[in-house]
Amino acid sequence: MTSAATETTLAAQDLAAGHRRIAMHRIAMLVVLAVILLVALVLDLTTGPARIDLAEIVGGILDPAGLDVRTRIILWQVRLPDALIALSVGAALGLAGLETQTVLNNPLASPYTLGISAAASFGAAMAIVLEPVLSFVPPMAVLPVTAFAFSFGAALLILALSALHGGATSTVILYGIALHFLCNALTSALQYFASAEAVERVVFWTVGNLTKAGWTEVGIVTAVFLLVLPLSLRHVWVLTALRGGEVLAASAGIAVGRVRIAVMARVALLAAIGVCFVGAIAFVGLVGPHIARMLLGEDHRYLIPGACLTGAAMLSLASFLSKVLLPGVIVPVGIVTAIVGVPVFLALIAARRGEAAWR
Amino acid sequence: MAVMTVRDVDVRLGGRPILSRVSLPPLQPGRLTALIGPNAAGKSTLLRALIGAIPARGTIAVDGTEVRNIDRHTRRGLLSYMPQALPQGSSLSPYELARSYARATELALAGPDLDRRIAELFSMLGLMDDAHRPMQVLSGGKRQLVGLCLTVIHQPAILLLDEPTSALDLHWQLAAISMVRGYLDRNGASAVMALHDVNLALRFSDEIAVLKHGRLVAAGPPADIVTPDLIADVYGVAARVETCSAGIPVLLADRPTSTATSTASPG
Repeated sequence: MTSAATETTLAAQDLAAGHRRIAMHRIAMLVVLAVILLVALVLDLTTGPARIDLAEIVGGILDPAGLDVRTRIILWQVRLPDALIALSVGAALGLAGLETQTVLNNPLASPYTLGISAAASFGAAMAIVLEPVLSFVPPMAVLPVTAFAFSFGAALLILALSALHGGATSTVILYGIALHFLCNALTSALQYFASAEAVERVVFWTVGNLTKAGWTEVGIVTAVFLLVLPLSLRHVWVLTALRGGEVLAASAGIAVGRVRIAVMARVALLAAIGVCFVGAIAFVGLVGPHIARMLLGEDHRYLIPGACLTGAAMLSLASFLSKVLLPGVIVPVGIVTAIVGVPVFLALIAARRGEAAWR
Repeated sequence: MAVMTVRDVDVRLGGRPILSRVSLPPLQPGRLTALIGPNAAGKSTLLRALIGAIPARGTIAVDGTEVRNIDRHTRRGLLSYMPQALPQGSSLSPYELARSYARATELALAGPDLDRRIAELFSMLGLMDDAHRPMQVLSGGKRQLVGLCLTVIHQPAILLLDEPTSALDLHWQLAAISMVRGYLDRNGASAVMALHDVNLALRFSDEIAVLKHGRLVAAGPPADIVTPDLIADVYGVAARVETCSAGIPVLLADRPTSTATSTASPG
């Protein structure tokens, strides 16, 4: 081997060794996130109006028949579905937020800011207000179906409009913002004309609440998330390459427009399924990916699992907080994510000040 | 050993003609063609047309096959385009970016072989010390060098480079073009390189093509093409072309001439 070839081999080994150190650090961060998620889940499961300790919960999961009827009902009908829907919706919103931010190259992109959540709220409001007309359909089915149809339709509309305009990222975001305001205005209009009882139900739904979900909803959201996640993981290298800039990626032969459409279709499904059962959840899809990015960098092999874990942990912690913030009251989790999300978001902005990311 | 043919290329954007019947000398293996001309002459548009990024009429072919008819996968190994835009400032490192590009574009190399390719390029362009630093803390010049690495990582047969030295200081301008020159010599590849610095074109290219207002004004060996009359006509600058001690022609620009209005305003 010539000395130049030996030098190149040594330099390559240096590069690989440096990268291995960074990779180990990121794997350690993923383990830390998984531990935080586990702690959040335990806190969520053990907190509530009825006092049930961890041993009882573990015992009740392993052997439900060993619990008394009251505790069994609380654990299996309330605590577990609520805790698990928090994990699955949080993970879905984290993944949807991350993929949106990456393909649109915009730190403010998320299902919420793109109007997908507002469309779900409008759909739900329609279902509630028109319920007397649709009395032959079970209300438990019509509301999530309508919310899903509206949010999925909204996401597809944004996707179609952006495809029509060549997929320019700023266009997609502007359409999303316009849609967000339109849906909010239409929801307000519905509330203006609706009965007081309907308005109360609309408000209750739109703030985002985990207690609406049961095992069926947990199963559906988890199944959709598990279906979409491998598709996202198949795109890890392309999504990472996109962070070097869209022009450069396109010039390297990456079909940027096609990737964006595939990603937005995934986001539409995740966001719509995420909000249709529990209502609008602010900030998880926006802030979760930012936290994951700060901890894990932008290699999407680590960032995708990281954003899912962060989203799930955030919503699970919000679910825990919703039960302890006001004694004797369970605050809707959508309010908690919004209140806690704002300072977290501001802290992230402060932490990132001076950085040149997203330039 | 691929040969690119560019003949009578017309490009219209937004209904406006940008390029009119532009032809280049055949891009032979190992040869570097510099594309010079004032702002808005159509240099970047021509390069984008050559890679197939914008629709064009005329002949743009590699070994007789029209570029638009070459499938995406084959085109990656054949043609590579470096845009003017620098790689974005992100928290990715140059090494991560290079690896993701290689994997995203299905480069056959992986593992230690890919690391050797990256190390070779990074060593040539002085990027080893910055390999694991976030792109967002690197200077524009360093990011441009990373962009150049990404362009050649597939070892394509034809390079299309749009102002690859615009953000670089003197040392790295010479290092970057020397790297490209060495790459062409070793791999029998060819390159078209848009340049603003006429002296770099004189020093390193085998042919120079001069564009003005979307038309080819002149093309041929550097010493024959770059004359005071051409510089006055194309750039509106009074200049001398003298031969330096190394026997290379050097352009000495004196002052703008009264015909400076013939060039477009800076774009």
